[in-house]
Amino acid sequence: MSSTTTFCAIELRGVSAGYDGIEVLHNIDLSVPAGQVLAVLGPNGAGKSTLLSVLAGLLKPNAGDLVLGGRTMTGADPSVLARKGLCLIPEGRGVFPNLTVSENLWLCTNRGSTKVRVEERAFRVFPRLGERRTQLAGSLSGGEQQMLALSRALVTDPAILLLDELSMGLAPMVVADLYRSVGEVAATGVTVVVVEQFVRTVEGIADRGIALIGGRVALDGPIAEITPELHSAYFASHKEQS
Amino acid sequence: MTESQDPTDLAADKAKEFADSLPSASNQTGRQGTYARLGVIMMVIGLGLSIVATVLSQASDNPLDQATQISLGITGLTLACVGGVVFLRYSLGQLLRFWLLRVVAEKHDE
Repeated sequence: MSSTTTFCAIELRGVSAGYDGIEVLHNIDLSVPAGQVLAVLGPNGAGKSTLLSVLAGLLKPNAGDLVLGGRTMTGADPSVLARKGLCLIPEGRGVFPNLTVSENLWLCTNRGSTKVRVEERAFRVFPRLGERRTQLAGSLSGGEQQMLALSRALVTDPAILLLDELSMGLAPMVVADLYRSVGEVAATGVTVVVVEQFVRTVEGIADRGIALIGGRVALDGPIAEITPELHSAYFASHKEQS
Repeated sequence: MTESQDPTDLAADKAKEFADSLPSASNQTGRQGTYARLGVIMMVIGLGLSIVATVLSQASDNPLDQATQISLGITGLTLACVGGVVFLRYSLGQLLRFWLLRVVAEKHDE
């Protein structure tokens, strides 16, 4: 789990970003060593999803640089990053509801895999999806949709996996199952950045955590060390806002 | 990469392989647009060539000259057709991608 090296898979250098002139992230400096599982924690509106959007190339920073594997990729086409091995599972699952489970998986054959191979890999990790291969993705339960989203990511063999609130609206047992799969993926050398509101959901898999408060990194360190300080950091930010 | 490889090395190798495969940001951002522009240029040149060839062939009484100009005209039309296909491919590709995203987003909102 604690597979860290000095080679940085992801770096943000002085990144500020936002929407329509409103700055959400303020001068963020962050480096994620290859193979690390980083949890990005914080209350609503802290800028967690914005941070992921910057990492995925979906949002161009107003200032600063996105560096991937030592190469500056600020303003790069997100579709190119995705094709090369950067995978984002957005909040709200990101499956195609009007396609079947199999068809959703077939969309992942763009990186040289065959339909049969992507199905084999996905159904090995999540056998329940195999039983529902002809069912429309929109008719699956929330947990199954998240499994499908995650399996779509796994079959592309990503180098970097970005997860946005995987646990949202799901039962704790389903969340535990999903994060067990994420842990298995991380063990294969994938660098994982996972956004969550609650530390308990990720404390089993994350090597390190950062707490974003008001668009700034308020805490940074091993999950066990920052957990006791999270409550006071969240509370302080709430007091500041009110 | 073997199964017995150290996880830290495996992760570093994977990240390096990913980084090596990335094109430079400035190179790939405008590729779609460049191809679309190339398509338009081919269309314009092709149509221009065809018009010039038509005018020249009408002005000439020599059948040999006319044959050459007809060939030139057909080449121009071919170039315009190919340019049109290239333009549609790279301009519609972008459009369809956004259309697909919109469909997905609307489905999620339902």
